[in-house]
Amino acid sequence: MFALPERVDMPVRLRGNRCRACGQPFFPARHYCAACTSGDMEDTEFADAGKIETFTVVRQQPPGGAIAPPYAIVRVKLDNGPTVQTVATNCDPEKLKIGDRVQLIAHRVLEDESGATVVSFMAQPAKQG
Amino acid sequence: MREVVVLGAGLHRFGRFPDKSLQDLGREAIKNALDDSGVPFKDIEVAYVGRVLAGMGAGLSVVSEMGQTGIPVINIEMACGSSTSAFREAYLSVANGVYDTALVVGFEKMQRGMLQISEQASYQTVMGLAVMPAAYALQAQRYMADHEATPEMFAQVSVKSHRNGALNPYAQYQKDVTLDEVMASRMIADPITLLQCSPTTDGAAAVVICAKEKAAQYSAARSMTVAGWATGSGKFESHDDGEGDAETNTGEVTRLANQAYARAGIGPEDVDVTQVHDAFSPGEVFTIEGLGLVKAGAGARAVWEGRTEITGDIPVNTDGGLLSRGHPIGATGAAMVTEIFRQLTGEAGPRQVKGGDAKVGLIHNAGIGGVNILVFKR
Ligand SMILES: [Zn+2]
Repeated sequence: MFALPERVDMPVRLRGNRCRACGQPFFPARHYCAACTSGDMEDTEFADAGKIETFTVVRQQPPGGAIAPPYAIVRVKLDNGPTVQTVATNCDPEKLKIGDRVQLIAHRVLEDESGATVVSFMAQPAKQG
Repeated sequence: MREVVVLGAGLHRFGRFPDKSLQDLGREAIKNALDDSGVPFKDIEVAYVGRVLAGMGAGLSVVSEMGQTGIPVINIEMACGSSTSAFREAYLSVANGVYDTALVVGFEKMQRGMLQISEQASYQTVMGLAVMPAAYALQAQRYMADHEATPEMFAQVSVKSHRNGALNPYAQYQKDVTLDEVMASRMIADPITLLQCSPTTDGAAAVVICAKEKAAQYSAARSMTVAGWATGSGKFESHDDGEGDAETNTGEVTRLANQAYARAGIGPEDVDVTQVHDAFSPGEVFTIEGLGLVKAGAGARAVWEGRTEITGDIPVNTDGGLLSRGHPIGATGAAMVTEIFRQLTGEAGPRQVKGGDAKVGLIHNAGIGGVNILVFKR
């Protein structure tokens, strides 16, 4: 999904691919382009920042979910990249706005049965300026 | 292709029936549909069954309750759109002359609680991203930012649907709710509150169809014609996030609705009564726009102004919809057909639209896997 940074909460660039025929970016990577069906795909890393297209605050824990509500799901259009959906972290979910800039970081999701930390990408508000 | 008519339809009441089996639910719906149509079970040549959660061969185990006549029983799954998929396949086989009479059945028994989209422990599930209301909530939040819409306008869908459900003896919830009650119910995913989520439901629905040229031999004096259909699985749009969100993609609804209108030789202005897939209240707003019943961006206001009420100019979900009639996922599509049949035959009683003069009915039923559109004419 992405190269693990030295420690959690560092920025991460998602690894996906892009269709050479039509330019469509994909995360996660696909073998065939969903838009034009070409199989000529090029691996790439996407920008680690983007803009909130929309978001919602989840207030009831879904089945299998490891994150305690309330938490925000954000749909982020990565700069020159695909749109991805993830959880917002290091922020007050009540204060998010459509159009806000966000930074993707590696963030702890849970500890598994063996005590290992499971990490995924999440979005946090981008630093001003 | 031959003209195909619906001769009858029937339901088992939607609700929670822990003491009843799938066979109990399905048998009652099938009997009601057969009685309504005047077609005896021994004349049914094929059955198409929409179901999702039941185990292997569930379709046969229910249909064969009516008799073991040896007919093919075909199980079909497209999540919440399963029984309109079953209807379409039945329609195509009759229209193409393979069979003269066919039975469409949908049934489901569901567990309480939020429906899980995927069984696999994907990162989306573990991170709590695979939340069905969230898909609608994300689009609703964007909609409110792009148009002059408020959370109350989405909540009004639920007020209207419950008002209609109160008039439907087959509905899971037959009780009015106020706008204040909807808004004050527990927030699930902003702006969607609990009373804006369809419940988990047990239920069954069945429909009998027949080639028109063979229909005269049956006693039912009324029918409706299958006038148009379209089906798709979510054509990729470049703004997609690749998660196949066909259920809330209005562009996909428009693409398919236009195919269905063309087949039926009508436009959206000809539609008298509509059933849409309101698994969550914003669904009605997005879908009436996607179907072209109102302009893009005008859906929330249309609901707010009462245009989708039974008495409005574009009545929607006259039986209470998924929100109030209930949503036993495999049965929902066939229940939609049942309500359109009642409306177009003038038998909808207190729910009747257009003074009993409704001529064209439209159905939008969506599920993970795609969208089905059906058009019927009296
Ligand atoms: Zn391509």
